[in-house]
Amino acid sequence: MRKLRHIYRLGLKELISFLHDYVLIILVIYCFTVMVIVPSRGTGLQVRNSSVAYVDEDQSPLSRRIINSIQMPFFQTPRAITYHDINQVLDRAEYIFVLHIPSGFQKDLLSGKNPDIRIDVDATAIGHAKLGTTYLTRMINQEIESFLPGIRKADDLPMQVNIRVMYNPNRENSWFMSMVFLTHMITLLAIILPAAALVKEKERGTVEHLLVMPLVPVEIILAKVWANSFIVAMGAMFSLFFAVKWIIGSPIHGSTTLFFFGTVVFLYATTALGVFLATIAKNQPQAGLLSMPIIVPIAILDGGTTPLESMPRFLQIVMKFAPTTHYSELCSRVLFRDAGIGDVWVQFLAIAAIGTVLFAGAMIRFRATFR
Amino acid sequence: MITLITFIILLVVIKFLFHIPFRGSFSALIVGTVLYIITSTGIGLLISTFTRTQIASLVAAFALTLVPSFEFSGLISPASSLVGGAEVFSRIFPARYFVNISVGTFTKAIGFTELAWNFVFLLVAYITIQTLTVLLLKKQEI
Repeated sequence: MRKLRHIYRLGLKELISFLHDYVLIILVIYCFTVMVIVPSRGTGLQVRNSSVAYVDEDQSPLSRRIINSIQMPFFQTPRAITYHDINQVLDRAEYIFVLHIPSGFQKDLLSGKNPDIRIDVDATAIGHAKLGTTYLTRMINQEIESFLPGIRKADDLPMQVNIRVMYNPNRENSWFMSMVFLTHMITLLAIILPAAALVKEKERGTVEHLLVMPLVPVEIILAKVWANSFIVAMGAMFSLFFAVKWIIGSPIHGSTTLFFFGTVVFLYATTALGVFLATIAKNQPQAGLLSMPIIVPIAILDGGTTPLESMPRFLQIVMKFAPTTHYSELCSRVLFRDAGIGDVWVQFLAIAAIGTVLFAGAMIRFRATFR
Repeated sequence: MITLITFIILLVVIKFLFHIPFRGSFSALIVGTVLYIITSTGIGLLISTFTRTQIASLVAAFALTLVPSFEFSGLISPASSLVGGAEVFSRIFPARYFVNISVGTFTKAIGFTELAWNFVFLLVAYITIQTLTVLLLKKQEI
């Protein structure tokens, strides 16, 4: 009982020192709002809003129809440029696609001469270059098909494919991405906050003060873990309801309570990782530099941005040991697929197990550094 | 300086591990990198003028620069396709212009003339950031 009281009091101390740092509070709020909303709205791996320019040397009804067919949401309205500028705009990364319709295109097509349309693609924008070219070609082909009567349509096949898109019928990117960014922010803060807090105490020598008091290392670490988890969990729930649900408008079918508990378990693991890093680092800049090469890969390779199955085998195995992988799986199951505890207990267990290992590691390191 | 060494190590990795050919102007890449490094360091200094604790500046460095530079620079989705807030972030952070320079010199075989705007922007950004830092620091002293 006394132990619990110690942990509680120490954690309160942690919260108080957090509340005194206004800049930090603003930054945490910023992380959970702007950094979730803006990237999920504006970016994404899908081809959306891709930039197209065109050179129309034909100026025929057909060439205009083709250009008009290139539309949102996949492409921005195409802009006219001159032939001379093609290489320049690609070099400057102003446009990803440049469509070139040669003069006499319509005439040649009607007289059966198989004229060419040239599409220049900036393949350094790799995500858009591949899929976008397919979309663009399809749009152009459709337009030409409807222009030339009597062409055999591709969907005349004696069978049909019925596609049912589950969980996100319009394949709306921001619905899912907002959750991915939310988990990134949770990971970032849950590692940085306790790491920096502990290293700060180490620098000022207040850890030694704590250790001469009737406290054991477990209590000190647990206090750091619960206080920082509390801060991040509050932020996460706020972000889920405010940013993800209200601003982005993601339909959250699942149980937010289950998400909350999942987050708590995840925070246990990540804050323990933060404490562990803090025991290695000698000062705050070190802690920052140390956590960066850990946070970035575990956040990006967690299977949220790109599916785990599409990674190399070796990486898949490595990522099984990162808490973020299981957490992002848990989030997408719970929030979008309305999974119950029966579907995600494996993830719960995995995160808890990883967390316990990290916690034990933090304990051992902590004892080693301060004894 | 340290960042420049990291950059050279990365160049070696790119060259010998991934076998990515370098096509454009090497001097343009070096000048761009130096400009980008001093601008980024400038941002770091700027952040530390208004944060009171090191935790805050650490989080600020992450949240204000690392994430936007990564998400909005054209590394993941092309900068010309970004919309709304993302586009604003993309245009005001120096990362986008550096991505243009490094992608341009590496794969597009271009040099100073084609990339001129990116250099100009980085320079302007550097001057602005330095001025702001100096102004903010002065205020603190009074």
